[in-house]
Amino acid sequence: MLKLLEIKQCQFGAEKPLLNPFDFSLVSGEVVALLGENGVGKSTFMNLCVGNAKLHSGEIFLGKQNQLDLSYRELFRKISLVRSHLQIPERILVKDFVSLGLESRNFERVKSALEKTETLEFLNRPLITLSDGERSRVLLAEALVRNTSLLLLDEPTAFLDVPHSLALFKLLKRIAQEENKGVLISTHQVEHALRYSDRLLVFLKNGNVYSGKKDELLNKGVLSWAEIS
Amino acid sequence: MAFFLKRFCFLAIIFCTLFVLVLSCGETFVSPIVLIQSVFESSEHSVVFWNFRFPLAIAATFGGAGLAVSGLVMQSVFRNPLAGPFVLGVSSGASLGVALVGVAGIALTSLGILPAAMAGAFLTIFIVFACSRFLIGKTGILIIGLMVGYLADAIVSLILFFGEANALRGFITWGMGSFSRLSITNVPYFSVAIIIGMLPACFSLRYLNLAPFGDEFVKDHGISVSFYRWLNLLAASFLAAVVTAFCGPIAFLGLAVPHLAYGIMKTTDHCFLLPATALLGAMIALLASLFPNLPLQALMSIMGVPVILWILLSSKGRYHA
Repeated sequence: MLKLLEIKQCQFGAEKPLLNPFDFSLVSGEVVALLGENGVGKSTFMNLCVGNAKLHSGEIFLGKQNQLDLSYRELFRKISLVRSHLQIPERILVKDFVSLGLESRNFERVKSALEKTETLEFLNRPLITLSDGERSRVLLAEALVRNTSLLLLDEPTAFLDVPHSLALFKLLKRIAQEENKGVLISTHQVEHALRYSDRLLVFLKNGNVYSGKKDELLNKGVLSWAEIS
Repeated sequence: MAFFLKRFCFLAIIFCTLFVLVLSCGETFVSPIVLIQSVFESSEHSVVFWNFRFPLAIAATFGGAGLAVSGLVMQSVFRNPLAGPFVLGVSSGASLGVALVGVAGIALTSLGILPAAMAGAFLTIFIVFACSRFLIGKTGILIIGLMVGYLADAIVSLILFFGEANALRGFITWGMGSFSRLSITNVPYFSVAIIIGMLPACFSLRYLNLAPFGDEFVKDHGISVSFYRWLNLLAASFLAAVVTAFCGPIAFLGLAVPHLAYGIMKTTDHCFLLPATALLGAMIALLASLFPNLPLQALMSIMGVPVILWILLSSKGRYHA
């Protein structure tokens, strides 16, 4: 198992640090769920990993490379971020959207990514006409077509009902295992995260950060804010 | 790919036909064969060809293409389907330059108008971009451009209010726009300027595809937002300024042709949309140039609006406009 993402004593935030310094690593083949209440910094952390947020202290490594030494283009080739709150233009077709993940035209890779997410039937449809569940899978396809080793998803279950949320978690689990990717998913669906993730990363409002196996964190009472013990 | 090739071939054939028609039609019709002869041999038609029809065809081709591409870039960068080449006040700035020349009493000949329009247009670009440096985000640029445009229009109104009848007539004539004003000596400068203005968009296809999704999405895909935004907005403004300076303000083309191109090519991929937009812009400008004695702006709106409406309404339910 390769260490794909390593966070060392990081503090981040727009103006002042949101959390206490913490360490975290993500290895290939595993799914880690990022949990926490609204406003603790989950989305900011996701942005930090792709170089779009301010790092106050600490270091971030992608593989063996320091993130600060990488250009936006190099980051693009190593890490994909799926944003749930994406402004979608009215006209774009699914096939054109998924192609955005490629630097040069390759229709076969687009089809392959859509097949993995079971959305090939929507190839020629406008993205905006899809349901929330269908759209979230197409957004995932756009990230998959990039074929990066790291896959980050920022609240992809935000607008999904229970069956669609479960389906997405199962799909991510399968992708992580079959393609040896490291997957970090932030979500408010705590029970689904407990069921389908390998480890948890929890941000608390008091600034503390915990990461580790589910049982370990449950025993510490880290998820008491979600009324789970 | 075959779908796009067929469409491009179809558009290219129509473009060539229109280009030849513009060269052939005028007060007298000159057949294409005689035209070709007059290119290589001095004849009674050579003077008309080189001094009037060829510059007209070139002005329409490059001017139409330039304005259309400028509009497409503005719509993609600002994520606004109603944006056009003149949202940053370029046309208003050029109009102000021309109006000031009229007030200053310089005769409204091509020599006077062209530098005045150029100066007004480029000064507007300078003011808008200088002020925008202090703002974050493209909404600020848009607002500053609109405000500068309104201010320029207001000053023009005051100048016209106090202006003399002869000067007013000249300004109004300039304001109607025309591709007939380009002289043969200016053809190389005009064409090269338009090509230079379109080059940044050609090298920014990926950025233009990503821009409608927002700045974070662009950065996520490894592209520098600020560099490409500034480059493309400057280039689009430059295109609008050049065409306005040489031909006067020409509305409709920049706003509507990108939508027409989308309706025909059925894709948002700028790799296909950009050349289609340029080609269609040239075609519509050439079509309007077949009637050089009619006001250009009015003519293009009358021709183009029904076409746009037909495309939008016939596409309902197949894709969203």
